Amino acid sequence: MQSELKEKIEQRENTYNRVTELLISYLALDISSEQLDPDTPLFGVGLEFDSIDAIEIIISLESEFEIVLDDGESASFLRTINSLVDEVMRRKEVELDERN
Amino acid sequence: MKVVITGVGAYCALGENTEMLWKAIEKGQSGIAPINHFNVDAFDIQLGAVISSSSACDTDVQTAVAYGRAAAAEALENAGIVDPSRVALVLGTCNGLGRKEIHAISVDLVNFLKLGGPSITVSTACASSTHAIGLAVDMVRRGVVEYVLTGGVDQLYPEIFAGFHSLGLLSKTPCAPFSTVIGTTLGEGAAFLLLESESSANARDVVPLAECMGYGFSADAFHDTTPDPSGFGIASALSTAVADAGLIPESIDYLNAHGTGTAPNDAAEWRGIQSVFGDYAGQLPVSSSKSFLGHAQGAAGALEAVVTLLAMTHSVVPPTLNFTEPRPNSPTDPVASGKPRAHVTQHTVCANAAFGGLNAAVVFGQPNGELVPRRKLPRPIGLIGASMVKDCHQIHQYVPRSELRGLDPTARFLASAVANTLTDARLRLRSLDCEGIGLFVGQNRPSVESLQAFQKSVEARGFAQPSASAFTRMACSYATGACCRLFGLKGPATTLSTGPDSGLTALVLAADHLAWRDDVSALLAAAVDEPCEWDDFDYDHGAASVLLKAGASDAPIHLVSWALATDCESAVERALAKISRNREEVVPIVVPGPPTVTGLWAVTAAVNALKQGEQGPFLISNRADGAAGAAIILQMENRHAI
Amino acid sequence: MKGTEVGYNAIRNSVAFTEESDLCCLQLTGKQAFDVFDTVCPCDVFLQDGQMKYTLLLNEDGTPFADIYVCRKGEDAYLLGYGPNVDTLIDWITEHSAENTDFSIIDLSKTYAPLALDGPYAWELCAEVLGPDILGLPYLGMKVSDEVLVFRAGQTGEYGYHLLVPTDQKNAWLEKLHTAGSAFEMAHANEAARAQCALENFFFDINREGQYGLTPFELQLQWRLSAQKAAYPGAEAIRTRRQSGWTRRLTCFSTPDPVKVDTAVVCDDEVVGHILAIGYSPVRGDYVGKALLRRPYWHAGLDVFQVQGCPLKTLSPPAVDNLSWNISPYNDSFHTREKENGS
Repeated sequence: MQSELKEKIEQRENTYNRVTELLISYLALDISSEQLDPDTPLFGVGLEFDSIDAIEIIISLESEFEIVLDDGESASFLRTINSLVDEVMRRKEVELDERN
Repeated sequence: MKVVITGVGAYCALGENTEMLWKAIEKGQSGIAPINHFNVDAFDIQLGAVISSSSACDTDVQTAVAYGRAAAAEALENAGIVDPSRVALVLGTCNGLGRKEIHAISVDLVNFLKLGGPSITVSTACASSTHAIGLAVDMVRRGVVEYVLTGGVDQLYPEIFAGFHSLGLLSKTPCAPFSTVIGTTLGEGAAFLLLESESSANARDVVPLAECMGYGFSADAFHDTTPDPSGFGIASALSTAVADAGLIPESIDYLNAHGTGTAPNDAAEWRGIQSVFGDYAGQLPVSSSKSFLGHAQGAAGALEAVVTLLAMTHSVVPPTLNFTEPRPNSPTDPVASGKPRAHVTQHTVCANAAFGGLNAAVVFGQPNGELVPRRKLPRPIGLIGASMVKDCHQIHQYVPRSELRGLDPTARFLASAVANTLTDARLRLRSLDCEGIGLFVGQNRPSVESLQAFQKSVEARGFAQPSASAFTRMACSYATGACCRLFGLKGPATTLSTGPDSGLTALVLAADHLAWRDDVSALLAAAVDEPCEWDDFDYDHGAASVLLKAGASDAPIHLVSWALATDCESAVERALAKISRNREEVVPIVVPGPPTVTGLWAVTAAVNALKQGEQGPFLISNRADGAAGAAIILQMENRHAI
Repeated sequence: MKGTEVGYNAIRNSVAFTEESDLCCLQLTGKQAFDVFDTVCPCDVFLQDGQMKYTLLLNEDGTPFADIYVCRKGEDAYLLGYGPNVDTLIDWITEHSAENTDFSIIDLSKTYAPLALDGPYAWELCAEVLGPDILGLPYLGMKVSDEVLVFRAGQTGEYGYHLLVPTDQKNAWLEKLHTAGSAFEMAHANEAARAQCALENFFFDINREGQYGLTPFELQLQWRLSAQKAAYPGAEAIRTRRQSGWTRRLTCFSTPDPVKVDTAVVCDDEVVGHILAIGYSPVRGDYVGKALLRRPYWHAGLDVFQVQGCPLKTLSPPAVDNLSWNISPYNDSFHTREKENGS
């Protein structure tokens, strides 16, 4: 595997693992990370989160990854674990670009 | 018997007494303004209906106590009560003096006003004082005491503001219930009603303001924070209240809604109103006084009751302020106006709903109404299930883990005891049999773990970002609501935070409710304690509950007598007198005092002893220097009707 | 294709209507109805009154036999399911109901006709034909309204309702729906239109990826199973797989070109998986599908794949922004949508 590809996959995997661990601890999920699938819906079905959990998710991601999520834009990233990972990575990238 | 209101008192953002409050309502003057008595710089919303710091209240005592003293004293004076020794107190408060001392305000009021009757504190978040009024009505009906001072007190603490803000429930502009502005505005204050029987008022030559005709409690059993969108819960409280008042929905002339201004509450409430009132809902004036008073949490129900009562005496209905365009699916007649509207009302109803889906409604009538016939004899009460637990993990035997996410230890303890008890009574959890059951819980404070979680989140992230989920668990009634959801209990539910005797008090009130009312046929009485490092003594913790059933003549164990009084000795005497027994004929068990749960532990121990063939009857009473004396008598068969 | 696109657009933008010929609708009665559910379902059957739950019925090897909802209304148990035909489903349940005997299964398709309404304004049309009480029905909730059994659930990512209307009233209801529906630009959605929406929202399709012998682990359907429950058909296979782990996972992707199902997905000249489902997404203007990819290539957000020489990238579903996500019965309406979108 090319090192660039490997790095890409690892980066995704690391962020995904951090997000799942965060969900498990902040939202008091009584299951292990292996029991969570990345495209599991967060609301309604799947993890059956509610609007208060949504607030907790945003606050916990913001403090863990030092990003700002609650900036008035649509919260459409609150769909699945994977979509949270997408958003975290996107925000980190924007931040990196701005810094450069 | 008619229960009448002979005095009212209020202290809130609209003024220091009921006269000032009413003048403001008449002028259409809202109490909502920028908050200046604590720092709100961290928030993007800074409005509240708060009492200005220049107000005349006593500054030597804690603020919430001062609010309570002012309003309670006004109500007593207004009613012309000169001898407070025969006055009981039923107070609703969400926060008390901080969450560790929910009943501290009651203790102060009893001492300050020299009230001689028992005192009970109800803490069911935003429905606290409505529950309090309901329980007070029954105390007058049962003749526990001659006068009952009932109402609510709550101060707007910074952490409450922060909590509501974190939940995204606050409105940027003054709240406009049922209109296009979404969100609520918080408030604070105190309000009290003085209740007595009509004959007592006549004997004193006092003209009552109104009759308190009935009340209804219910639980959503839907979600720990979101109201049931179908409005089933609020509808059930409303229809129970209307029926308790001996009325039909069409005879109600005005409805003072909980109407917080949030989208889920207002929509569910209107749906509930429609399901009770049918087509008539389209003609019924439905307004929310929170547009004047803000959401005064535990005091909201009592303040709104005072507004409603004053409106009745002035032959008007109070408006919903700030109303522009209606929201879709909102009341047809929200009394959208800047001023009260002339409208003669014979009967009115006030509704409130709390986090966790605990609902309450109270019906008022003009004092000239007809006497509503009531049950003459109590129903016999069987005890069909009992349990005590010291391990909160027992709940896992009954409920899948996914349903228990976020539950704090207090809720887990309570749920374990309730699940054991329902199973002991051979009931299937969440079945139709459970649906009719209610839950009265004695619990002195919210979960210590949740309080600490909230505190930690504030320390870590500041007031602008506290833990929203921990905040929702900080209401004393959180565990009660969670149990109703877990087991599908939709009957009357409330939480008593009355001091160490809360558990036995809950049992006595549940027995009374069941024996004399027809809205429910089975009630759970429970108590719960979570360990806490603040306590200066070490004790066991856990929960206990019993399931009472009305008319269960085939039940092996019967609750043959119960009594509530100012002190334990009087409660014991009353309980014995009711069944014409003397002390030698019963086995006394005196509950040694704290924690809250010991009273019901003693009851479950007595149940086990009876089951194992011991003779009894057992008389269980508290010894505590608490707020109310409670005593009950249990025996194997129902030999002595009360 | 035209018909499919009209239906698709209605699902995504207004409201679409379907006669659901493939939906099995059962009612279980008797004291042990919920015990039967508990015996056959891999999820925790601990339902509140009026609550539905998404789950599966599993073969002994852990692969899905049926894609189902279970529901409690009072003491009545309902099951809505896709996959097997109704007789096979009834036989399977009976066969797996273990020692439970006090129950009977009623095939509701004999007395009810299943209709479905899907779309960002499905709630509004529903309220118009069934009354405003429908607005109080939460997601995965069920109620009986006017003799119609209403189940609020869908597989399109938009507001969805399954309506079981009494067969003898079917034509009357159809007429009612069409009359009221014209104001909502309601259109008929065929199976292809619904399947495309389901694909874009990563809903499980038992007739598509369900035919590859995959277990809930590869299908990313662990949330349909209880994390603790030990006994149900397929439990042994699930336990074994949970312990041994799995090396492939269904992943959502997009690609600009039409590619056939079963085509290999390549990365660095190495075959890393296969396409199991694909369809054209009118909203996106490209093709969306599900590929079975092996570890560690199974992540979303990677634009490193080719399929028949075309680029393919993995993504996090939903592949489209569902309009329903931003529409609330509290303050929206189909009739004022232009104004709202404009403001």
